[in-house]
Amino acid sequence: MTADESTSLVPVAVRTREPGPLGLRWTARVESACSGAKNMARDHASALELQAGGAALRLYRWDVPTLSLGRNEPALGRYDPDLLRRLGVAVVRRPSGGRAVLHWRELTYSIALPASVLGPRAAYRWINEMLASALASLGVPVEIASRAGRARLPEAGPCFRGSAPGEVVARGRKLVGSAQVKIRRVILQHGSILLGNDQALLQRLGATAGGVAPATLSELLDRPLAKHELEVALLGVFKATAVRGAPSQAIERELELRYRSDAWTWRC
Amino acid sequence: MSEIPVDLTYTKEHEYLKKTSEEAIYQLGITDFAQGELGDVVFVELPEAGTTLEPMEPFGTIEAVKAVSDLYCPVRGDVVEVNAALVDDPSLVNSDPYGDGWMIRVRVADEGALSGLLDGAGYAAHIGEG
Repeated sequence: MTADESTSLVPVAVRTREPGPLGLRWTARVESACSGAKNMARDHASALELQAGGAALRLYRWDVPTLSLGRNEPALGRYDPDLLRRLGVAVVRRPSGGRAVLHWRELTYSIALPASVLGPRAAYRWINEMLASALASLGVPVEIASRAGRARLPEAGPCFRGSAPGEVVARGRKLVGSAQVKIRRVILQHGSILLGNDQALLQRLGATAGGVAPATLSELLDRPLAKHELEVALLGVFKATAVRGAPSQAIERELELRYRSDAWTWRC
Repeated sequence: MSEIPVDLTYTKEHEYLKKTSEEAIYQLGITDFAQGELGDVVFVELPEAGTTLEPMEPFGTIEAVKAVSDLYCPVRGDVVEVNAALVDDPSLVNSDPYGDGWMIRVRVADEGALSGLLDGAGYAAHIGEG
């Protein structure tokens, strides 16, 4: 599946009738491609609006190739806004930690769940295990990275350059890059599941060179991925059924202004 | 089990306040439980000295294992000192949360407002270690 095909996705909300994984009631939205600012605003809003006993899943794409930066990742002097514009690459700074990701031939997920259910590290591992389960159901040879080691600094280069313990890898290379933010008493985790490898473009944009190329679904599967097959697999592990719905417009608009502003994007 | 000193005051968001020898000045950081939950701390963003903090408004952020969390001060007060050592070595939050890993010192406007916070036993119960 190419990024272009994502524009045909119809916004759909999904809600479970019975408690799903972790005993939570899962609401999910599969959305059409949006700008980086809107995607970050919707993720943020999903955490702010999370109902007691609920959890929220979003699956989405990006309307143009987009560089997303970690909350505290240095960008000034590393990435050139003029070069990004010339290459047709948008930029947004995430509310979450971690490092740079180039979003294009990929599917992004976000999950908001109560911090009272799982702590940050436990949530990180649990979500990655759920993602791995969905990917394994498609025949992808995934595993959870268990290598011990310290977390990388925000300035340590792009996200997909190397894997951290608890992340989803395939054949020793990172397939899913994720990051978290705790918003009030909600953990928001979002991440990129690579369909193709666009991460090499990050070096042309200004990121430091080196590291191992990531794994991608297009390379790992010996068959074409059917349209929406990945989305269906992900919804399946969270035991959700599709219904229509819409996120809160007022909160989303206010947050979008923040994520669209240069003051936020180029804050460091 | 996490270390929970009995002579400190705690928030449900996992910050602690430790009274210093100076009147109305409290040292604020995150608890041993919180640092353990977060994992390796790689970045701490703190306000400048002189900043006035409002109750439960985020005053900074902490990043660990790609997870960012806001930091809160539960009461109104002015920042009188910031732990500059955390800029170069944020891992002090992991190794010594109640000591060298402190974050800010705050002149609390109304010490009576601290009475609504948790004591050690209350915090232990809050995190399920009571």
